[in-house]
Amino acid sequence: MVVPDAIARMHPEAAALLQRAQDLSGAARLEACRAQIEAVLDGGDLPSPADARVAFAEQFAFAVGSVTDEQVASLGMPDDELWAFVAAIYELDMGLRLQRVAEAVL
Amino acid sequence: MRIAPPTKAGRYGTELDSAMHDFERSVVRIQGVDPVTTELVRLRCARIHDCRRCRSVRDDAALEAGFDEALGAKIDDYEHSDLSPRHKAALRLADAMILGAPIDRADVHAHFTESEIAELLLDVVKWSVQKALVALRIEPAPDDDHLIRMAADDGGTYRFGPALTPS
Repeated sequence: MVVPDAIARMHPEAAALLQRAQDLSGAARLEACRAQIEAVLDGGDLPSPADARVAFAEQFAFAVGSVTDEQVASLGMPDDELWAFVAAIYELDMGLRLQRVAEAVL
Repeated sequence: MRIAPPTKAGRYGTELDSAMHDFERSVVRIQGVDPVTTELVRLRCARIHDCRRCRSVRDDAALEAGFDEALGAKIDDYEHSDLSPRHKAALRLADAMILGAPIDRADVHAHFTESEIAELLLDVVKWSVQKALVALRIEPAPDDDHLIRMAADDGGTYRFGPALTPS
């Protein structure tokens, strides 16, 4: 995940700090989650996720307010691992959105 | 709540939490866009993402610049409201980010400079950290019965203040 050049050129401090957070999150290693989020953003037919983490990523990107207790429980992670995973999905989701919209308007 | 609530201002105190907080504060310190526009965008994110905390607070700087609840009530159906073309353009840009809505480059550039557009995009990324909190439902409103004022310090950290009005 790379913060768009146009953003870095205009707001270098914030862009560098966002890049650091994205790198620390390990979002780049969540390839299957990334593909599912991109499918949500593309608005086409979604492959049915077999993995709980991918299903969570899809729901997070599509309508986070509708994430259910069951979807969180199915991840089967202890609290610290769960928070790290959800934070990484946030970095992935918003990083992809930023790339797309920045490319369209900047 | 789906996990134990954060015990620190920097959430759970991880290195990533610290990095996220540093990013968020840096975005708050960028002040090229007027506070009313920023507040409209912040509340759009809060409503779409169903963030209880963000919906229940109001930014002091925006209030001082003229934001009020009558203006805020126009956010949900902003396209059919009498919000200014500038405010509508900002909300369309926010929707492009959070809903994947189509965006008209010329419309955005008619109302904002490139730097302001970049700032608004970073604002949406910053406010959308609420998505991680909402997913785990660790974003309770600071007060169940009232809207609460919030103000950013010079470093970009928000602090909750007194109640504004009955919610």
